[in-house]
Amino acid sequence: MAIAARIAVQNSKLSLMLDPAHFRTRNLSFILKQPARNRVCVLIWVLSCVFISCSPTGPRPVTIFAAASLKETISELSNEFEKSGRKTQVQFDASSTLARQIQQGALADVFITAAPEWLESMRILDRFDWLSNRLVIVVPLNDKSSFRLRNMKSLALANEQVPAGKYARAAFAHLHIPIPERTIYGSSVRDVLFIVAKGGAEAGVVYATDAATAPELGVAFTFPEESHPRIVYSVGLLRPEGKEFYDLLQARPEAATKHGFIDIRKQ
Amino acid sequence: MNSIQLSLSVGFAATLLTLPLAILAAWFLEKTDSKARPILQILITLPLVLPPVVIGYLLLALFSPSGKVGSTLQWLGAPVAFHWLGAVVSAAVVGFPLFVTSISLSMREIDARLERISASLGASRLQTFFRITLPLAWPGILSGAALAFARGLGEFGATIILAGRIPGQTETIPLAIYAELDSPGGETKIAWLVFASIAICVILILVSRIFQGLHKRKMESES
Repeated sequence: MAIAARIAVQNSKLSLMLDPAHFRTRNLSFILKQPARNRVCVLIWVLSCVFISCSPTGPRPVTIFAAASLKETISELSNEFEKSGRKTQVQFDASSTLARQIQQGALADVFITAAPEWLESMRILDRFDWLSNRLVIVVPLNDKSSFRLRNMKSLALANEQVPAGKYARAAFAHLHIPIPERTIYGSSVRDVLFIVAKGGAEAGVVYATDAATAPELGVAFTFPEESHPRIVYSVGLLRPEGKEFYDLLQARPEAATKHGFIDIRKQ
Repeated sequence: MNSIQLSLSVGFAATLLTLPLAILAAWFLEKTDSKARPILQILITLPLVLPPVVIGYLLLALFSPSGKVGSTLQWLGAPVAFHWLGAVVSAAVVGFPLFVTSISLSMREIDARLERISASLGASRLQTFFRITLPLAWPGILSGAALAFARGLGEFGATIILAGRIPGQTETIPLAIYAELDSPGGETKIAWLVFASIAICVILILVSRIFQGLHKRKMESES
């Protein structure tokens, strides 16, 4: 289709350029005087444009923006939710990245963030605090025994604005552990996991639940809870269309605790 | 600003690194009649059209410290993955097709009779290359270098996967902009970086065009 359109455009352009008389007269009737082949090409091009612009659009799926660490939990819940017949569309990334996208106009019905502060600058219909988590240092399984907390040569951290990165910086400062000079920044907590798994850094700071998803990595250190601000996953309802999914999250904390998250109401 | 300097040095290193390879590849494509040429042509064009993220993924698979090549390089003291060299390699790979294309175009326009005369006077292939082909092709080489430099400067997808974001080491302009998007008040820094990239690229395009013009004049004076 695209090729046909291109040929059509090229053909029509070519024949226009070849005949300078058409430019002098400024009379658009020359379009009708084109050879049949060119007219067919132009027609195909016009029809394909119309066809593209009329592509079918169904009802809008329920759009969920979720913190990267919730990937497994929310994927399972959205699959379950889809059995009710409504489509979902889930986007996982760092809470800070998702918050910026929402602030800049991205359409989201439900937003699940790993730091409640991102909900504060947003217009929300309703919210609740859902889960908590623990912060850990992961290393490749082979290096677990040789790991020394105060002697790290390289470290993978989430970006400054990403909740996992903020919690990690607070914990390092609280425990007076120097952050190694060679620090690789991941765009989300899952990116940190990827960097450590690929050998980019000796160790990385992630949530306990993320560490559990990477079989080749092991937990070398768990930060004490008082070393960083409490980790709180909050759920915000941004549009009425997300109400059913929002209610499902509230009703099913066990879908998350199964993966190692902590139910905040039981804490 | 740090990332602008870094981008320039990464681009410069990448261009310098690929310069001999690009000349060799262009010469092979234009001045030989080997059967391997179509294959080489495809291989050279590939980075131009392949998604940069795919390039980054393939490079990481090759250079990852957990692999053979990566661990050997690390042992040699030149790790590529998650290192300054990784940013250079990414920039080099994506800039290479533009580099080679520009050189082969200028080599194609060299009057083949000059090279044949050189051979008939007893010059070896190597002598002909250094005395005839290279002196006539140099404006095309520099024009290609400017284009490859400009393309490498802006590489994001391959760089973020192969080199990661390490401020001062691999955080080039596009990576710095991406990181600043999240931080409140990052707009001024982004504005500067955007302005700098446009300015650098405009200059490079102009440089490339100047050399193209030079090449054209050279060709006209030869014939």
